[in-house]
Amino acid sequence: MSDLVDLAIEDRDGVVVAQVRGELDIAGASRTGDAIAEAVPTTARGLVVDFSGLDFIDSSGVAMLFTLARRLGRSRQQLRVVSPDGGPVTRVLDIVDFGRAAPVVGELEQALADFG
Amino acid sequence: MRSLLRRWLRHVEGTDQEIAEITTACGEAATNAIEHAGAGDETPFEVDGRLDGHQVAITVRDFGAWRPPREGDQGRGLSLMRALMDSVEVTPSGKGTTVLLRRTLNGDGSEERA
Repeated sequence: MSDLVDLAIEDRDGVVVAQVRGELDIAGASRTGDAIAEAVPTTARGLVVDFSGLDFIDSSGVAMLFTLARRLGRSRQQLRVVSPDGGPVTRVLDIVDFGRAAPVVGELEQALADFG
Repeated sequence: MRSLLRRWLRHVEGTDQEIAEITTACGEAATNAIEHAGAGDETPFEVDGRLDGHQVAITVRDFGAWRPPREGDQGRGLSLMRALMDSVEVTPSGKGTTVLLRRTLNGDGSEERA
């Protein structure tokens, strides 16, 4: 894992929550994406990628998210992304229109509520 | 590179949002430069930042071979640069690729700085 990015995984009632903190760029994006994908069992209800503690994302981080969205789609599992409104990471996700791949919400509890 | 750039942009009184957006755009240009240079971390690329009035002009120059966007990226790096900056000029040549990024800073930066 790159020194700039920190990943923590937890289980919230069958939903995998992956908290990605720091800065996500080409040095760490693909390893981070693989680590997250490996942490999601086929029995999980879905995945929340939490960017609340992320200060920077570039196109490799965006590619990582699109790859995760495809993987989850294949296994019929839901993906939610948490990214604070008005922040630099949300700005990038808006530009690349990530919302067409999976919903982006402002807060973790909001994302978890979507899983019922 | 990002921390140095952020410090400079703060020095020239960019707002937090301007700093974040310009840093992201430059990061994309630098990623391209590293990929053009091929394998290995040692091949240098240059980043040059200038302020002309309120306009920031940043040049990222590599000395490798121009390559089409990597698989999976789908040109998102370039789209991001174009969305975040006022203008983006990419000039490939036999000696490498130069990317010139321009953006005019709006305020004096004071309102968004802690």
